Amino acid sequence: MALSVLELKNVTVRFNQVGAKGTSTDQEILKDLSLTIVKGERVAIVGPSGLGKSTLLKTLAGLIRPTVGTLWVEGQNFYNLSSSQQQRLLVKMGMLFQRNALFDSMKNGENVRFPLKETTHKSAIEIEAIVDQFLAAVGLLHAKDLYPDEISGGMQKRLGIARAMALEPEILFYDDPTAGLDPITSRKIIELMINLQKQKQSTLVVVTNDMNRAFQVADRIFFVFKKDILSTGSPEETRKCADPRVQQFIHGRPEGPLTEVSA
Amino acid sequence: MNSLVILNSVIDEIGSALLFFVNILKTLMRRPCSRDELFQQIWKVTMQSLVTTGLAGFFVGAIMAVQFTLQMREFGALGYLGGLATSATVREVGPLLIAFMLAGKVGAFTSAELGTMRVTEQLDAIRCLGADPLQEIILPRFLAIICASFFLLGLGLVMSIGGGILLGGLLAQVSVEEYLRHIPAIVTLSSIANGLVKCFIFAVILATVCTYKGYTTTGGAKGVGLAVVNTAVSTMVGIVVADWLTSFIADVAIRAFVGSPF
Repeated sequence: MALSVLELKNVTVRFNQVGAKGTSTDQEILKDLSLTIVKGERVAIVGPSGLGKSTLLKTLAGLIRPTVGTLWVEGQNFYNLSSSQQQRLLVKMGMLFQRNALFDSMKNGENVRFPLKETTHKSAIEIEAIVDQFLAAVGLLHAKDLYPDEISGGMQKRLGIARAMALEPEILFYDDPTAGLDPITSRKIIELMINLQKQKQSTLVVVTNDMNRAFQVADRIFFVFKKDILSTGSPEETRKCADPRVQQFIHGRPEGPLTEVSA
Repeated sequence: MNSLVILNSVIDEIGSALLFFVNILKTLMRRPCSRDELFQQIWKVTMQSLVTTGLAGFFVGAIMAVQFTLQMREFGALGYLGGLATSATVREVGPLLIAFMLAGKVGAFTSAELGTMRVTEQLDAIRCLGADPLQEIILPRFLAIICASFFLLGLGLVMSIGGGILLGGLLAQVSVEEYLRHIPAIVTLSSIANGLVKCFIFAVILATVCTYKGYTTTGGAKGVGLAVVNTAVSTMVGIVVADWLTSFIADVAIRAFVGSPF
C-alpha cells in the first residue's frame, strides 16, 4: 500500500470577516473535507475561481490552520507538533505561490540562496553551486544578479520554481503555476515541473484553472466545488466523468450547474 | 451598540498586539536573529531618521531656549537657562520627539514594508521555505527600532543643546560657557534615567505596533494603507498614554526613594 504523505481529515476552514460597520461574520470556505495524497503522486486541484482551491492548497501546506479537522503530514498530526518539529516538516515542502511571492528586495540569486542559507549548514561555496544549478535548470543563470521585477512574468514563475526546489523538497505545491502565461510558456513550465519531479521522485500538488495543464501534469485530479471536493481519478477518467459540473468545467460551457455557483 | 463593538475591537487589538509582543520575546529567547541583519536594520533605521531627528532636536532646543528665556528673564535667572532647557529636553521632550519622529518615518515604513510582504505572500513564502518570519524578518526590525531610538535620542539631545546655545546667545546674550555651566547640576542621573526609560518604553510600543500592524495586514493595497494609518494613530495614542503613565509612576517613585525630582 502506498505511503500517505498528506492527509486532511474532516477539515472545515472558516475565515472571520469584518464588515463595514465593524460586525464580524464567519465565511465558510471548505466544509468537512477529507483528502489523502500518497508519496510520489502528481495531483491537480481544479475548479471554478473563488471556491477555495488556494485555501485548500495552503491548508495542505500548513499555512492555514483548519477551523475544524486535522492535517497529517508523513503520518504525524501537524498541529500537535512543536514549532521546531513543524519547521522540520516544512523544510521538506516547497511552494510556488500564485503571485510567486518572490522577495523583491533580493536579487534572483539571493531568492534561491535564502532557504539554503537559513535552513542548511552548507558552506557558502556549496550553496553557490546549488543556486547556480537550480537557476541553470530553469534557464535563469544569466539573470542571477537581476531583481525579480527586472524579469518577465514567465521568468518570475521559473524563479519561483527554482526557489521552491532549492531545498529539494519531497512535497511540492504549485498554486496556479501557469496563470497569465502564454500556452507555449505554460507548457514549458509544466514540462519543467514534471522533469524536476521525476528526477527527485517528489510529490506534486498543483492548483490550476487550466484543464489542459491539469491533464498534462496530473496522475489524479480533484475538483473543488462549493466547500467540497470531488475526486475524478486519472485524466482519462476525468474526461469521461458523468458529473455535469465536471463536464461543464472541462468544456468551459457558460450554461450549467456551475454557473449559478461561481456567479 | 456601535460603541460597544468599537470598544470590543480596540480591546481585541490591544490583546492581540500584546500576544504578538510575547511571541517576539519568545522568539528572541529561543534563538537570536542574525547579527548582520540586525546591524543592517539598525543602520537603515538610524540613517532614515538622522536628518529629521537632528533638525527637530535643534529646533526643539531653540524653542525651549526661547520659552525659558521669556520666563526666566523676569526672575533674573538667565544663568540657569541651559540647565533647565536641557533638563526638560532630556526628561520629557527628547524621548517624546524621537518617538514621534520614528513613528512618522520608521513606523510607517516598517508597517508598509511588512504589510506589502504579507499581502504579496512573501511572509508565507518564508515559512514555506522552512524559516520563521518572526525570527528572520520581525525580530531584526523590532530590535533595530529600539537600538536606533537611543542613538537618535543622543543625537537629538546634542542638537537640542546646539539650538539652545544659539537662541540663548541671540535672545538672552547667554554665552556658551554660561549655558553649559549649570547643565551637570540640573540634569541629574535621575533625569537621564527618566529619559532613557521613556525612550525605551516608547520604542517598544512603536516597534510592537508597527511590526504587529504590518504582520497582520490583510486585503491588498488598501489593507497596506490602512495598516500604515493605524500604525500612526495607535503609536501616537500609545506613546502619549505611556508618557503620562511613566511620568506619573516615575514621579511617585522618585518622590518615594530620592526626594525632589530634580
